[in-house]
Amino acid sequence: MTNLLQLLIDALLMGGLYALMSVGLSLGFGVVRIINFAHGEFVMLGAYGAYWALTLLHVDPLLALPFLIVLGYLGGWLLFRGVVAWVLKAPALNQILLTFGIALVLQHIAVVLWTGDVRSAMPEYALSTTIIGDVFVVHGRLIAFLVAGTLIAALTTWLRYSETGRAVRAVAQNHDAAILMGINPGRIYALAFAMSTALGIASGAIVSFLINITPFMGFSILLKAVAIVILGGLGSIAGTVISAFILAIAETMVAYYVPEGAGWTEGVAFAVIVGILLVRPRGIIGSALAT
Amino acid sequence: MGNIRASDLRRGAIGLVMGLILSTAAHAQQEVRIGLPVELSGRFVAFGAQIKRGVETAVEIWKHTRGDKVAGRDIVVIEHDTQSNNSTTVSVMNQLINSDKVDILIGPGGSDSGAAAVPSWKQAATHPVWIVPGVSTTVVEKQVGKDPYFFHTFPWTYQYHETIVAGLKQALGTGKKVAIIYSDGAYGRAHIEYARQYLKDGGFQIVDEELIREGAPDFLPTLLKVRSAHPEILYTLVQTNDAILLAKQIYSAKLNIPYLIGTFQATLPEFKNSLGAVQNCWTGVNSYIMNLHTKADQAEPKLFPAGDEWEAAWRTKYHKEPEYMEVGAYISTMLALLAVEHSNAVDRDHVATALAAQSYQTIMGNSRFGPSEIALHQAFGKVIDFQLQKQGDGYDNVIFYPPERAGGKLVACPAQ
Amino acid sequence: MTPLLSLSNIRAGYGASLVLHDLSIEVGEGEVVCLLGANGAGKTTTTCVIAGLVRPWSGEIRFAGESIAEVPGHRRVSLGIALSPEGRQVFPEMTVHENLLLGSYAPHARRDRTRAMDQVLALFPRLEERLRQKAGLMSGGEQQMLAIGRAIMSRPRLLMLDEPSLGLAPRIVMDVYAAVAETARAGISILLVEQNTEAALAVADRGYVLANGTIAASGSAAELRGSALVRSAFLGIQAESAP
Repeated sequence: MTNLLQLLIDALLMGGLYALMSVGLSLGFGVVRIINFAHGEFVMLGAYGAYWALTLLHVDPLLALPFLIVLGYLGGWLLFRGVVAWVLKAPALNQILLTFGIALVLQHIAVVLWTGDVRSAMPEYALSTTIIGDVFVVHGRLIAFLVAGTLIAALTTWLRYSETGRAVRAVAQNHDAAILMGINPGRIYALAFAMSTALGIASGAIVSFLINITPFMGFSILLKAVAIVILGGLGSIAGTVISAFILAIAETMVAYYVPEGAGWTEGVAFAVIVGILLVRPRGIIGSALAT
Repeated sequence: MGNIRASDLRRGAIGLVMGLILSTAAHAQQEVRIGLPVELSGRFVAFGAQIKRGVETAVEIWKHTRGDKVAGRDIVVIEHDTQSNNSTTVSVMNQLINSDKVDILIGPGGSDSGAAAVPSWKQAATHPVWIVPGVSTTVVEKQVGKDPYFFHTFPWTYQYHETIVAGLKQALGTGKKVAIIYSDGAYGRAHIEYARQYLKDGGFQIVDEELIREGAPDFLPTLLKVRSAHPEILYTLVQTNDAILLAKQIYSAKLNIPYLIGTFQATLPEFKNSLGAVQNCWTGVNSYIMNLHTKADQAEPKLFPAGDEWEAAWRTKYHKEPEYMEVGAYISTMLALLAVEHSNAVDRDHVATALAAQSYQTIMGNSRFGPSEIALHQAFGKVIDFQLQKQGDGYDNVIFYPPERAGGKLVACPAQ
Repeated sequence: MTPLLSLSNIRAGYGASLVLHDLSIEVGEGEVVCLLGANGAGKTTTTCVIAGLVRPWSGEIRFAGESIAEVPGHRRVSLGIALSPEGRQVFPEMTVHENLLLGSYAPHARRDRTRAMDQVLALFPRLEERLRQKAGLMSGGEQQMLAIGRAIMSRPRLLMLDEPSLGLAPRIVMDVYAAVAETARAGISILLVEQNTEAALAVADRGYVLANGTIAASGSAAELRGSALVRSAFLGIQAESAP
């Protein structure tokens, strides 16, 4: 059963990355109550950012990461203030359409700027592996996992212990009461949205050295992230992290054990959602930011 | 001087009229219209760009050699981007056939594009001559059947596998264990049947077959299954993007399979550029390899010069080596222009007859069309097996089959 | 002397429906004032207008002499206005401790946080016992204490309490009101909005009766307590507004 152990290791490492990809979406929804359908495109932009940093500036994706995070944060803030803020009080359908529209625009800008060609940014450590007994660990995946873990830990620590972090949780849990505390909800929304964008960009930078980069990669990433966030209970970060691992493991198991399973991995996300939501409609931890 | 001015005016007037009247214009007798349904963006952009360049170079050299016209007609090239997208391909084909009313179609390159393009072409009552310098999928061969206006200047799927398996058999003998990885799409599913057939007939033992999803980010579970079957040969039937990621993950997983077999991916610059050291020992096939020192054609030495001369000119002009689809498109265009010239007509029957009768010595071999398994007109169906082997700082294409072209031997991948 | 808080001719409502037709009340420095009324009279609308959660359609609000009509809700805390809202509105997933920390989120309160925390926990020993418990899991009475304590953490000059006795057992109501009285003794002005007239009048200096979106009666606590007119008006109003 060496293969089983190998599969679990690979799935766990992927799960960390999935978690980072989804946490941003979860934060955005928990606080701002908008599912940001452009989230996948932020991941895509982060991947391109890291790719160009590597190929043009010869800067390793990990070194470029802090800069990309800051850029992502600023971009998200501007996008929120300039565009998204206008639909906060609008019906949910309008919000969905708007963020979908942003996604399409970003995708096509990427195609125009960088063409539809596939890119690949692979620093040395991305491919090398360490063999431990019968199993191997791909360094690129391990690093992605560690970075994802660090960022998520930093986020949850910030949310739990800092003044602004507490304010963000307050707005998510009770908007009016938060105002009574002296918290400016508009600023907190922009902050949460900007952070969710920054997290998306960060996961893109990390994923850049694991998979192929194209302007169209965002959509399948968004699908997985939405599946994970719904599974984990919208707005709950702990739930999101747990369901990220569940999805990664389920996908890997299906790819291995089901005949022609590799063709079904994308479908796993949705099968799992439908299954769990039938049983427990509020997701695994169905409340706002249970950290 | 007076003559040239008059024809200038005429050309200008015709151009203006043609530009204004679109769909029901009487066909201008003074033009040969060549339509290019090609992938200028999206995942097959490499092929489309190559075809376009090959066609443009051929037209340029024709004009340089013969003058601006062919059989008294202006050469008009109309290109439309299929975006590597099936529905766009359909509309592009309809536009070229029905609106632009081209006389000859050249393109596309990718198999999926070809499959998408066939129905539009067949549905048109008088569909034009169609020369395809790409597209290996036999789905297309089956659909065009014995249509006399279809000309294929690129190998069909089974022609790859016939040659790959023959090459493997010659280098390794029989009985070796093979695992096949194929992609879930037109490409993979078309190739797997032939691969299986030729491998079995060649005496190889197929120990595993794994399907992967096109565009998937993670092949490790599949690779683990392959590893469990302990193959000596890994036979991959995947397209470029997947091929690159697959090669990387095979390397990371340290599968240590001695022979890594690919199809056309090893010929593509992206494959070599993205992979670096990982490309080592991958094999591939090609319909055209450089430095084969072919001779010029006796009848048309300027249009089909000696291999070295043509390659040098290309290198000087474009500052890079020629790619196989550029070469194929160049030759296809020349054949089309020569056919128009010889028949002094642009209607499809005359052009098709002339094409079917021609025979030139080109850089890819003899250009005569003959029947393939199903279709009528196939040229350049023989491929060459090569392996990427380390030479100094880079990796060279070392041909190991067929013997008359071979420059080296197939070697096993070094253990990691 | 200018009152700490004064509302003049306030018209306010939600959407198209008008709730407050013409509201004028005052709270003086150091006073405990109660605003009595039946369900739907507009009590919560009043506190929301003062706290800045609802914008009045017309009328004046002055606090410490300055008009605050243009001051957004989240800035009114810094001025010294705090509200323990109807239904407590604690942050359910956060602990008692975190709720109290949020009470002192505003900069001026943050500086005094440790002292404020000590005072609040001394005022409500139950909260100290439950400090690490999730607020959403506590009983109604405990949540009420938390809501008040949280409001006090913001160092208010004016503390508003919206129906603090609602749904609480009489014994707990006593504890809560004892704390309210002690807070008043410390010098904080209090606006107490209640359906429970007895409890409110026991601790207030003055009171208003809100009916049909305007003040129907006002006077000292003693006057209101003894007034048969007020009682019948209140009861009559109650009868009218009963389904």
